[in-house]
Amino acid sequence: MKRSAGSPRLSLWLLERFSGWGDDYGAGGDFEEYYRALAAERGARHARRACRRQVAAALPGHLKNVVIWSDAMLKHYFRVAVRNLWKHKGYSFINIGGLAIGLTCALFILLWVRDETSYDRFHADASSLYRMELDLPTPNGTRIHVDSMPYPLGPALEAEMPEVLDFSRAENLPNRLFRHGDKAFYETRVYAVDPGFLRIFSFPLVRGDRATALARPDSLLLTESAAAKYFGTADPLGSTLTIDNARDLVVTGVLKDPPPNSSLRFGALVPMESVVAPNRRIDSWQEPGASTFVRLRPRSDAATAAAKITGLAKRRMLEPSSDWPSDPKLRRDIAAMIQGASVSLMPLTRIRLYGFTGTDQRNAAREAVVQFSGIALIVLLIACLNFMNLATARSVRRAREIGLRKTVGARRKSLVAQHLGEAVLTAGLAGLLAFGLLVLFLPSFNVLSGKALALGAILDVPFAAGGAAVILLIGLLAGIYPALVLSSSRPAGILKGGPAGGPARTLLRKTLVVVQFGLSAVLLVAMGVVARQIDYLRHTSLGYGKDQLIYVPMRGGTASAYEAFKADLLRQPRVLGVTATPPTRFTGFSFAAEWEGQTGRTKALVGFAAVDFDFVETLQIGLAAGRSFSRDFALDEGRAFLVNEEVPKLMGLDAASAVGKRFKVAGVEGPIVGVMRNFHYQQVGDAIGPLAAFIDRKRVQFAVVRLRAGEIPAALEDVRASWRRVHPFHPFEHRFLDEDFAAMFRADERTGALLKVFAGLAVAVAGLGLFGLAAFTAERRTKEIGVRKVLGASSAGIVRLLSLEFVKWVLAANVLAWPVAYLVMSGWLRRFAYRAPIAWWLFAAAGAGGLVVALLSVGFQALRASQADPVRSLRYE
Amino acid sequence: MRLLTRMEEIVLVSIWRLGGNAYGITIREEVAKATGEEFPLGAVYPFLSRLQKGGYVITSTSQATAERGGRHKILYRLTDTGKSALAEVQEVNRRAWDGIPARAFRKPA
Repeated sequence: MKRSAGSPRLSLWLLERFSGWGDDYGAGGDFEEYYRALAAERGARHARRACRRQVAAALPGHLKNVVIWSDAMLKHYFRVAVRNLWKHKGYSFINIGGLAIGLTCALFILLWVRDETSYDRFHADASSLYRMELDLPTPNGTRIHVDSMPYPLGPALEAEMPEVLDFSRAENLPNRLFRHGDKAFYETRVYAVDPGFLRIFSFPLVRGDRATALARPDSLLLTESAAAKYFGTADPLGSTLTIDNARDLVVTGVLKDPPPNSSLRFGALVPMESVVAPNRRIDSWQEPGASTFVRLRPRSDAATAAAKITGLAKRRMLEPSSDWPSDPKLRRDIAAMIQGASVSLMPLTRIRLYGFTGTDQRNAAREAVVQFSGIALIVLLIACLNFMNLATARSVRRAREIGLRKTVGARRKSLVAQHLGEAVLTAGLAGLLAFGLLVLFLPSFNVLSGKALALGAILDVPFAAGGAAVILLIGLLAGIYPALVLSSSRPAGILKGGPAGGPARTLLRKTLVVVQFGLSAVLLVAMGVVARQIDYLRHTSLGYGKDQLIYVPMRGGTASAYEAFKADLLRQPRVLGVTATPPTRFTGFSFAAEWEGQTGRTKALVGFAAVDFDFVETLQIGLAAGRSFSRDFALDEGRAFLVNEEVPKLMGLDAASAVGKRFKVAGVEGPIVGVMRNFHYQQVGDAIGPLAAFIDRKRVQFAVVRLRAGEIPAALEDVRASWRRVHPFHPFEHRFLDEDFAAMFRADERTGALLKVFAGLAVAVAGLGLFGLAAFTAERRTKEIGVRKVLGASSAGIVRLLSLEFVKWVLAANVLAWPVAYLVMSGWLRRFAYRAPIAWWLFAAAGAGGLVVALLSVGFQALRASQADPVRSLRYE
Repeated sequence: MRLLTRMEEIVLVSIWRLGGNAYGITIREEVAKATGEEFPLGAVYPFLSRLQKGGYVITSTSQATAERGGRHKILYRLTDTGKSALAEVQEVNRRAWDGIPARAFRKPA
């Protein structure tokens, strides 16, 4: 049956809906008939108007009814809730405080994660910007991932591929000396870029013209903070800066400093075409090249584009040119490498969390995000379970109230609503408290995390909505059990004081306790494992003496005067030795090596370090066989190798018989004159790889100076004075090796510190919860305890009775947690080549810790219960 | 037994008058006829509800018809309680008005 067109559905529906007389009284049908009669008599328009009038007349009264009644009940419920919170202050404190701690942890991590995920999203075209990455096969079968592309690739793509709208290369030129008048600094973050840089990225310009700022070959853009170093408050536009004491550049623009969440962090921009890294030829397809960013046509498919780029890049890289080496074997190797290469496009916004270079696919930022989110979620989970558990326990005390409400006619719906509402209100209070704690502890968290997080980043609508949703969810989850179970019970039974908590409820409560303490135990074990691993690494013998060593970077042409500097230094009594190394931690590149008596086609990558005489002596590295480099042998300079113990292993020889064998790596050839004991030349956690050192004083990048112990400040002054005599125009820089060593552990130490704080909080929250729960149990068993005491039970016996139950569950929690903790932490340790074993006593200690907290919290309540006067407890009926 | 209110009385009488055809619309018309005033349709339901709860009327469901948009009609009928309540009101009225001439409250012409 169909309604005639034009019948005022909405009005009728509203009338039916709000009148509340709906089907019971046939009002809907009556209204319909009334409308039709009117329509037949006076026309549809009149009838419709009449209907609307009726609705309009009925609505205010109805709304008033709803508001008045729900308002009255709301006020009542609210008052009851507040009274309840107030009446049980201690309990409320535990409940709200515990949840607030958990929420605070979660908020901090949320801040962290939002900061990490906000990287590079501020660019207007962020979604169509990509960084090109090259994936290459290595001679020993693994693949290596690099983000530097041949220099001519960017321009070639722009010319030949319609999808590529724009491009810019960006190469960080290490340490250029900038000078303006008497102000000279090494700028470590000078980026050589293309004019496209200012078009595809949205870094705002404070001074200068975006379109032309990079047009001149001698243009220079400075960030505000870099400009302030040279020009103070004066307008730098049009001023000149001298770069490397050789070229004058004109400041054509001033940029705002890149925001902290930019993965491109530059201090100055110079044009790629005119200022490139020394010894680089930017027209060569064979050079290592630079990071290259492209802007694709909107909505073009990145995978398709990447495939096209791969084809183009391979074709051009394989074209014969004078850059190819003459050795035919080397040519074959290079060609094979190019054939196996592929180019991929990494979206700009994913670089921070998913980008990686090198052979393993690790991304430290994402690892930190995953670790910390996991930890914070565990703490939040513990706090939520706690909240639920206490809310459930407490609600039993309200059984009488519920019974009475039911007796006087409360509907089940309103009882459920009341309990859920109360739980949400409590959770809301915890949320407010958590926000207060967040504001209070943000500075400390920034110190701990090494970030500069600001509250402003999260004070927006999605955050507020998300926060409200979480609070609502926690409140509902915590309230749902008491709301549903208690409201369904028969009032007569409750009012008579029958059993309010069945076995099911106790089981639930115990399960929650087990989960809480289990999670705490996992965190405690994790904390112990991380602390021990860091400690282990810190005390690993490095294989060389790291104390009293400084290294001095030889930058911007100072390397040519290394000899003079060394000679001057050696005249200082407080300088014990001087040598040279490749960059920090001796990491050079690895190359395929060949040697005398090499069997089969084994290809082996060997680290390659250009050093100076006195290398072994200054660094105090032990010798396993042979001799150190010596000036007495003419061929030692550039035609002899010192290798570490891994190289003889690779050759299948022992150290002594490796000495004298001919060795060839990266175009250098000569005999092995000595075998050094293994020393950690890379990250301490990494496995020590084979290393070959030879003397090449033209490639010196760092001078390493050993100072006399006990006179460090004076010795440092001597070194500085030497530097001034040799390099009057270059600033003196130095770093202590042991400081750098400490810096290696900073990321792991941060994880360790956060783990300590969070594990502590988790245990505290779980303990708080148990404290509340024990208080509740003791209260419920007041009469039982009274009877026991009257019958002659001792205080000790009662304490035992009350505590043992909980202790049992805490122990069970630990036993369940141990395998989980073991698995998780062995996974974490797998990335270290040298690991501290996971000791059994760590588990025992975690268990003992949990037990102590449990005993303290339960024992206190048990003791109080056992001291109570039985007369009073038995009389209270 | 509790005495009916004036409106309950009028609604109850209307239901009796309508015999087997007493439902929302017709009851409203009868009430309007009796009081001489336009009576909002929605206003009869509270009285019907109260009378039903008091046991004065019972309801039955009629066939659904097209003119009601495919919905049932709820028909009202007096119960014995309803009838005796009306009888009582009638008796009370009679006693209360006994001996008062109809012109007693007319305005002087």
